[in-house]
Amino acid sequence: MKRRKVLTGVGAAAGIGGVIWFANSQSQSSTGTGGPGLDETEGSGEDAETMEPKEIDLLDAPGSPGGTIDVPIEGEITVLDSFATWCASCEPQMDELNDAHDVIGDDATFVSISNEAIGGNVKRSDIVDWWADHDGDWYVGLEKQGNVTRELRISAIPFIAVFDENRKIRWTHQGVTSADKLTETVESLL
Amino acid sequence: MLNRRQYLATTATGVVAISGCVDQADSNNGSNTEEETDVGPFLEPPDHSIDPENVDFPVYGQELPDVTMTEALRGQEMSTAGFDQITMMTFVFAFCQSVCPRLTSTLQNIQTESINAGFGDEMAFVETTFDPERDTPDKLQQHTETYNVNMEADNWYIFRPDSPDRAKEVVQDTFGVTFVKTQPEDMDMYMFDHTGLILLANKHGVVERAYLNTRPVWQDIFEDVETLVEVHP
Repeated sequence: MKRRKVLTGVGAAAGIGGVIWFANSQSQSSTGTGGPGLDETEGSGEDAETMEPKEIDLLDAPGSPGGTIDVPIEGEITVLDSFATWCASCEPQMDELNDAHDVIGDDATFVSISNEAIGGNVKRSDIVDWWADHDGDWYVGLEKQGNVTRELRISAIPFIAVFDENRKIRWTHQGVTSADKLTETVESLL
Repeated sequence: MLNRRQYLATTATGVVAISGCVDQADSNNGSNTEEETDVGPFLEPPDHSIDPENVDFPVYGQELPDVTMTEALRGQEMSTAGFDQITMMTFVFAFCQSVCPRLTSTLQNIQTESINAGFGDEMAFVETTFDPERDTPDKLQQHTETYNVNMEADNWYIFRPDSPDRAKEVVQDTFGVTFVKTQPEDMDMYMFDHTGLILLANKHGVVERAYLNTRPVWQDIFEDVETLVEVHP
């Protein structure tokens, strides 16, 4: 199965960041590092796995009109960012995403998603506030039933996936991604 | 919250002296009818059963180890096997930046969702730190705030072994969760490589599920919790 192959490759790059647990979904003895995840994989061109569209419950927030959107977006390059309001590393990631968003402009559609349960100390308005505080200005929403996290096997955030116009997973990265790397990745798909 | 089984465990071992109640607690303890109770497991065996021979942590059908330690948020001695509620347990350190955030947030999301679903008071959420040197009670309090834990629900606990040696004894030797100190080149502080484990135990302290490596999304774990709440006698 190609998806497994691609995503196993994420863990196989563990030498960089030591996140060996990601690779070993079958292993019962694998461990994970407490350090920042620095895993990365590039899909292999036309062979990359596609992701079926997943509905995102959009927030009414800066750059985001509410309603729903399906990701990845058919016919567009999609930059998908998974974050949470408790995630400290997601703050510098927002700076990088902002810079990349400014450069990339209309060449790709950015969608940030959270898989947080809403209730108690986390209300929708708390996520909107976090978004506004970190200058988000594109689609932002909530996953439904963890469908994206499950399919992309996201184990740590921030996590970014770049999809081509045919919904193929062309690049993923766990841990903070630089604006330059993100821009270069999107440009390589144009 | 000091529930019945915690009360019995702590008084019976004499760790907590509640004035005037020790004799009574002992006699209650002697006359309970625990042996007649069906202690489970109540869920069907997991699809991908972990072979108990290959792992050191407790799995489906096994009892949670019973260790008495300081619960750092309340500053009192409690037993890891003493909860009357359905218990979700994990092992973390507060400075962790990759694996543990997912573990803690999984428990926190399930705490929120169980309260939303109306059975929050049937749940206990239990973390144990293996970094007692840096995870002071204040740091652990801050950890609950970082992860938006609902402390008003009074069902979140953090055990803190009183020394690194005790942490090895409890977390690694007793619970089978391995951890090794590391010094990442790009960081100015130590971290740990460690097993990413979440245990789901029933109200009798019998493990119903062991989730490894942060694999299931919290929604899938929550489905197991809902089923357990439903079928639990």
